[in-house]
Amino acid sequence: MMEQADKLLEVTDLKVHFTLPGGGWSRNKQILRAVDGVSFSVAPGDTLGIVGESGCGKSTLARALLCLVPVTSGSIKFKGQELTTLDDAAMRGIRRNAQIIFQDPLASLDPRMTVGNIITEPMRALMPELSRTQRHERVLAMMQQVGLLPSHINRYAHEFSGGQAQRIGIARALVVEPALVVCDEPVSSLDVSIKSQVINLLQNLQAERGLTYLFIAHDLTSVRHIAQRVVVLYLGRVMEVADRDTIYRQPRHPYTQMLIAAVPIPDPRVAREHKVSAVRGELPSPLKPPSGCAFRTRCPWAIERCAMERPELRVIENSQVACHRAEESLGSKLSG
Amino acid sequence: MAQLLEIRDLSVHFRTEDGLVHAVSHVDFDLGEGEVLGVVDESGSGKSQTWLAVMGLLAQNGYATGSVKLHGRELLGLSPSQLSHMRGVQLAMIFQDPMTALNPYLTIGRQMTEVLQWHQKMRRSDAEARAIKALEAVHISDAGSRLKTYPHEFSGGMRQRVMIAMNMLAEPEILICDEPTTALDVTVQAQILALLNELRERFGTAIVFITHDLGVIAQIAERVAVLYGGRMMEQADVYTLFEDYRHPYTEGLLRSVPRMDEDRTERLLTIPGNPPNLAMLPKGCPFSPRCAYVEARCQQQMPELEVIAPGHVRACFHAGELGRQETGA
Amino acid sequence: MKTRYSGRWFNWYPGRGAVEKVQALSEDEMIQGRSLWQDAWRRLRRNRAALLSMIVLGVIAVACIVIPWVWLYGYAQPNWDLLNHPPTWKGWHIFGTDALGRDLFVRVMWGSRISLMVGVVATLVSLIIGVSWGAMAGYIGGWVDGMMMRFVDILYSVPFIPFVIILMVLFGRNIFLIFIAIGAVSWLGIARIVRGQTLSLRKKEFVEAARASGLSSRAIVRHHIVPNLIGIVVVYVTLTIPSVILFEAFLSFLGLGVQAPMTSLGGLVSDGASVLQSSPYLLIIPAIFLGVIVYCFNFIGDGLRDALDPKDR
Repeated sequence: MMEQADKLLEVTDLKVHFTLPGGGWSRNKQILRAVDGVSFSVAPGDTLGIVGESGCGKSTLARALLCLVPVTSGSIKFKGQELTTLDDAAMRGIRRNAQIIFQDPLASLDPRMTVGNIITEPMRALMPELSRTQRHERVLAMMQQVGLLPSHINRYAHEFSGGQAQRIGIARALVVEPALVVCDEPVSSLDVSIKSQVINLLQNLQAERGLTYLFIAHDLTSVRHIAQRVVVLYLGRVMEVADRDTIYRQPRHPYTQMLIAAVPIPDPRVAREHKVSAVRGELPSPLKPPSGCAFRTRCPWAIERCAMERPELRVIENSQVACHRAEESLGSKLSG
Repeated sequence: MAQLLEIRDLSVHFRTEDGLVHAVSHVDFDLGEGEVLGVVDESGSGKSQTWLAVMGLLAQNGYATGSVKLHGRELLGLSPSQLSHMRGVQLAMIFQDPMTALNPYLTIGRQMTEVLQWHQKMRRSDAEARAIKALEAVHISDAGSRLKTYPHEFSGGMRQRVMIAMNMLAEPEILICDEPTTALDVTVQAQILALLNELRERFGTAIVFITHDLGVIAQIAERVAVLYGGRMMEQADVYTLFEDYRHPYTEGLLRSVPRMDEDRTERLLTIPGNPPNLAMLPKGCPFSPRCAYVEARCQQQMPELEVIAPGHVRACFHAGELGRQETGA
Repeated sequence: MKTRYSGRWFNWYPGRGAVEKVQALSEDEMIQGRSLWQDAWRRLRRNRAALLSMIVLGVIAVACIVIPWVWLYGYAQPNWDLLNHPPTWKGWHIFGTDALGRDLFVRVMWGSRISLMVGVVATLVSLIIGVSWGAMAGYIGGWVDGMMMRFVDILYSVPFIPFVIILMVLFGRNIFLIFIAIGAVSWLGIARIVRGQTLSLRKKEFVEAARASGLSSRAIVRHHIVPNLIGIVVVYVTLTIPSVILFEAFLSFLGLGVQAPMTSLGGLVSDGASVLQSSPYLLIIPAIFLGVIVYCFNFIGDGLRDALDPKDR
């Protein structure tokens, strides 16, 4: 386990609940537990991957970390400073150190602004000490670093392809020189050939600037290439946390195993051997999560105990797993 | 396999503000009965246009030239009513976003039975029975009561199942799937792929599967056509394409896919540059700006399709080996 | 360990490599980007009806500003030699004269000027109130939004014509009062539209991105919300102006318009209608002007809507 001082970001028992109005005239409000007791920490310079299906609360988690959605309870410590109780002015200081890259690059860029203005904007708000020329120089340097041409500066975001737009989004996030960057599915909406370009770019920038990433994704392939540790989320709860190599070689939680088995393998011979799908069932409604273990409705090993008692995260060898039957899991892998 | 669909020299053009855009240029496809054809295409490559043209569903400003024959009968130039009859019975198409194809104000049942009542003059009760059977075929439990629900009450994956069920109602000969899993989670994608495989075995439906994900292609396709910028780059059976590819674009695509079944590499291999912009295609081969093997003539003229082996064609000037010597090591 | 690296598929690295040059060649040609506004302007110019409407409206606007200064007659100046005379070259009464011998041409110009002014100024009044009210309600949201919009609902249910009539009767006929009265009537629609747009813009990712970039709420409204509202507001404004002009004509028809001898198109139509049998030109000519102006605004509004959001057609 890491020492306290090593941690750039430490999240403890974080909960984000939304109250949804009941339909029609009813006064019964429903509570959506988007993030329900999540804890993890990230060391400086590391990349933590957060994986789960859509609806598992990973985007809410990303926004909660940057205080873009209100936190219900729990604590977020950034460089030892508690974020959940900060006021707006103090939060601005944090924003300079923690930035976000969004999933849909085109939707996250204002269609009526030029590339130059988009990248300059965070500096105007967060680095007022810079002069106009300094800002301009930094924009140009940043654009070059992410692979945009200086001639792009006066063009509008809607004129770019998805991959290029994501480069603009990356430039906007990095121009204020943050320590932590939350990447909310930055490559999910991109073409295959562009996906790997962007992942490589993120890795280069991390190496050059010593960045810390929180890399959120809905599948395990891209996370494998960039993250040192991986957190697997399901319905707002942590199912498994482990080092990258451990989680791919020895996935202990049945959900992790299912996620790995679901990734299509680009080899027709291998693919045809594994014709039987290892994926069962549907994601339950987050408004009515199952009792006990959230995953039990889709789990091939679910027993009575799983419905009665919610499994807590336990340390087993190199992993932390929230499963009653985690000890038995390794021998009988789900896949195949 | 008997020949079902024969597409020859198909081109699709669009009149736009920036002039005439050639979405698809001179492509040939063959589809046998019960065959699964995978079509690989990056976004911006006029992906769906070929098949929208086949379906007679091109946008107002588009038109197609060439020939599309279903059972030897020419489809291009058919009247809208003939096309609409054919769409219900012989051809069906599912899209990336099922929500755009479903009417949010009508129940699933109404939308499913309407087609049958209209096309096949079925009675309502018969149509409902058929709809329930179709929903059961795509593994939607409690199908009877699901008929009374609205599209927004389903999750993304379930909606796609409903779309498949709806399109399988008339047991079409060809089901065209336009990136049906791109917007879905990997877990749901795996389920939909398994479902399509199952339906094909049960009903003998031929499937055209359009995607940019080679992993998906490997799961489902028997033959694969690789397009770039609306041009045919390479076409072969799935094993040949993955193991003995002869086109630099195919090679680049295969290598930039991160794989779960192999050891992790420090860095991903990529194809440099950006996806093609159909309005500004380069002269010559559309892939030439991104190609590692580019030669002077590539920028001047489009290479002709050449037959390398029976059933394996490619369009590339590069004569030497592709750099794959290390792959087996 | 298996490696798939061949040496030829070099890792793309920003800032170097042959690719950069290829890209640079193809994209350097267009250094200045085309903004959405420029795109819209291009599409608008291609819309013949809208373009023609803009030209016609421009000509009318210039004419009704310039001509009253330079014309032979004033709007209240009678020519006792020619009473109720149809259009004639004699004395340059090209539109004829009315029962008091006043030149109809100059009166139509004055009337158009007043009508356009009422249209534009009253719409501006409603625009200022409507946009600030709607944007505030939409951006703040929650119970503030609820209160503000309920207030709009209440005003909507007030019968406005009697309200305006009472205003006129109480304070006398005054052109500024007309501006304010009509503006106060028509801001409600703008407020609702702006509030709806703001609500949807507020949830857009680029607004969230701006918040993550540390922008204050005010800066977000100014830099991101308002510029993205302009499109829809412009369309709404061009469609509000003609309805305001018609409303003013209606007030004039009731005899509640501008104070005689000053007139507006509505006033002229009203006067003309009473002598329809003897001097039809007194009705027809101002009616044509009124119709053309209203039509032009409607065509421009439709053209703008298509040009600004081509997908919504």
